[in-house]
Amino acid sequence: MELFLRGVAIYLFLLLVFRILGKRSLAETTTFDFVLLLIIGEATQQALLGNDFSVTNALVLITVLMGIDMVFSKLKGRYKKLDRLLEGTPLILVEHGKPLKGRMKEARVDTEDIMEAARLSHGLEQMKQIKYAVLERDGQISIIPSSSD
Amino acid sequence: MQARDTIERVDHSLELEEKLDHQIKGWKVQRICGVLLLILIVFTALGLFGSGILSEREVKKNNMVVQYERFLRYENETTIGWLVRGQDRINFLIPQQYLNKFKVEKIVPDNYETILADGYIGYTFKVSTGETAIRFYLTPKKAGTMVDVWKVNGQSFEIAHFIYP
Repeated sequence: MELFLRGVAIYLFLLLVFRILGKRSLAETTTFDFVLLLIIGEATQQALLGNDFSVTNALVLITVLMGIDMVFSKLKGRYKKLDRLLEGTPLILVEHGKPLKGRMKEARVDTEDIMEAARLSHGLEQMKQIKYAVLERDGQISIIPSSSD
Repeated sequence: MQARDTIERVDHSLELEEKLDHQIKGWKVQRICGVLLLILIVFTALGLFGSGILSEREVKKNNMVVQYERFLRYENETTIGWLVRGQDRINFLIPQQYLNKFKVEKIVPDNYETILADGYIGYTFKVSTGETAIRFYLTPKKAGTMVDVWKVNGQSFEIAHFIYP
């Protein structure tokens, strides 16, 4: 029972923290972010396993975590509101070459992030070549180029 | 309200559910949670989860002083330190229900006698005159609130902990 509760508590806490940090928190991982992730992984592992390093403990824990994840994905599929609450919704950041500054500020995305995505996905050179830039639910920026280009 | 005013409304041709009002609500919640997170960090630094000014407790009575942590964490060792002056015999009576929630790792000095008496476990130290420091090293084995009274040479000391899971 204790193992189950530990698994649920850690799962829900991480879900909450990463939701608070926003979509862009892990979309682009810098070297330091990667180190930070390793540290979080290590701290989480100790909290989950405690002093019990048996194979059984690890297997039970993996099953619990995967089980919770499965339940959540089923619920998200069934209840749209829950899906929106946990995963968010896409957000348009550029409309016909015009950056939407208010939205970008709230989503913590700057012009450089959008131009980087435009260069990487379509080889675009200027903002005016972008018809729409959308911050997707997974934190990636997708670019729809203007049809004239 | 401010965010709602500065967010641009877009009439787009994309097949996507933007749900802007939901986004605005989400940003508001994110901001509030961000502030709460910072407050939590400050309180953590101050000792809300142990080792800090919010957690440290000191009780003085006559020639006895006890120092302990108010906030403990499950399976994280803690120390209850006693300083006793001018006694040639120090007798601790610790409630058994208190010790049921802890594992006694070590008691320093270790030349003590133990007795079991009516719901208490007694530890008796024979000392020469002067100041004596006695330390109990304990590991919490149960989470939750606990308030118990230790008796030291007949004096009662209330020891209160909150043990985080």
